Amino acid sequence: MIKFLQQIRPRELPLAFWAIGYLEFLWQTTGPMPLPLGLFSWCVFFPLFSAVLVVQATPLWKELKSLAEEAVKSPAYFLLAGFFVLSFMFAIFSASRPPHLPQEYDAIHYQMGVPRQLLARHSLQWIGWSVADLWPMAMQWGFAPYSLAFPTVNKFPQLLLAGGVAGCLVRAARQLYPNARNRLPLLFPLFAFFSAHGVVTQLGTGMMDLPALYFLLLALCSLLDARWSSAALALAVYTATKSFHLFQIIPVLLGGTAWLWFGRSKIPPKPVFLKLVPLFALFSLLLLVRPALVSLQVAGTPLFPFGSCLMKKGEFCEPEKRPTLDRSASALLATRYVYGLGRGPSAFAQHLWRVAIPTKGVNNEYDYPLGLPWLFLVVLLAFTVARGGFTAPLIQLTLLFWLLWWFNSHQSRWLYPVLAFGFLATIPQQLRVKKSLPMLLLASAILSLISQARALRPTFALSASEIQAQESAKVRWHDDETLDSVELLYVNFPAPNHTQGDPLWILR
Amino acid sequence: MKKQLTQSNADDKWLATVLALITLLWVAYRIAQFTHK
Repeated sequence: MIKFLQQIRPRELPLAFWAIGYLEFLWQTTGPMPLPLGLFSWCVFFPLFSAVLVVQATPLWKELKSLAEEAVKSPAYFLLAGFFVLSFMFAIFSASRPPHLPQEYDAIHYQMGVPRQLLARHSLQWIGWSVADLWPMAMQWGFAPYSLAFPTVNKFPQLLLAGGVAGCLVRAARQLYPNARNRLPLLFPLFAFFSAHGVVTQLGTGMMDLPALYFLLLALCSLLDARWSSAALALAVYTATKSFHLFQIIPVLLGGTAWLWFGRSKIPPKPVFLKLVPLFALFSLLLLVRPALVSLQVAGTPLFPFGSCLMKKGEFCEPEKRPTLDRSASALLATRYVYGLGRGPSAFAQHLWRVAIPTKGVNNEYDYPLGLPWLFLVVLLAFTVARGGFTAPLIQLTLLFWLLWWFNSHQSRWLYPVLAFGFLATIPQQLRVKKSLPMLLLASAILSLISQARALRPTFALSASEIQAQESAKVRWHDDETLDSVELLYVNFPAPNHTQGDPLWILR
Repeated sequence: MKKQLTQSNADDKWLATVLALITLLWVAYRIAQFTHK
């Protein structure tokens, strides 16, 4: 047993957390479960989490102690660590409250609301009105039992996986540059990422972009450690978490295959092709089967909103219902053009600066500004490429994610993989300025912390039960006994099939 | 190269200057935005 606990890497605990929650979700929705929602998940995960930390306490403590001793000698890193801890403390407070902020719209509307409705129905059949229920949401399903276990909704799953992002950034930097004499500069990617304005604005909220990034980073760490099952599962969960993630992972896998085949790599190609790829295919198939079948049954495509009615048999491919489906699909696909400044050469040049700054109140054309870390990354990448570092695989992966973002919707939160991989890839350049860089980052860290506190102000003012009551009161019943779909996270029973709402989200 | 980099104590002048300038520009822009509100 102790040997088993020693084999689990601490960075894999959030993956185990998700897997336990996902199993309970399937159990709760496919058969009668004798236990209250969330009891199984919390009661399995918490002892596992504690046992792994106890068994591995000595090496973890040694690591933390030596880093703290190094940090004390560097005031800039000491302060950055302080801001990081403060930021996570704000986030813990926020995660204990139900989602209610404007920046949590997606979480309330579908990322947490749709799994709640499936659990209320005890069924995996399509919720007969929900557009979002046609999408792959493997990660969100795994979170639901934990979030809905208590009288008030919590966002601890999102926060735990954001902690996983932090752990993976530290671990990956050590794996990639094991010969670094001073380990403190290897923490720069961690502090830079968590100083980005958009990142701290999301920390502790119900949004799912940071948790999704955890799976990508874990896949990288596990790949570097030759832990094939962990890498395959992490990559499969990422793929089965949003419709467009498949269009990111396919080019990444194709590029990775070509690189392993033709390039000189430290990663042995044989186990990648014989273990990682088949396991990834198997896990993805298992996670994608339900959304693909439901989407086919309703919209005639396995991946709505892409390719509506490719198969003519979909329920909404009938002539009288087709306009509703088309309206929803085109509204969803049009989000590609809602953000940003276009896709021409001038828009490209402008986005290098404008992604970093607020232009519309606290927001900008890319939704949220990423702040100074984005500008640092652009400069570090430019110097890396100019100095002949283009051939490094991690640089190419960063540029590939950037390129894919450029053709997708221009929302800054979908640049998180670029930020995370980019900061890891540019460590050699960061080491060239290891004295000044952390001091410069302090400017961003202070402002981001203030922004985070301001963004969470409405949360600090109310207790969890007050927020829950306030949000539940927004659920509106109409005279004809129909329901508005907006706040379905706060409806603890199956919403009726004639639920109303934005045609973007409702198929009727 | 990695070994040389980690053992060198002086910052790369070009890179440090560009990063310092971009930080100044960003901070100045943010202050200007704040004071114009």
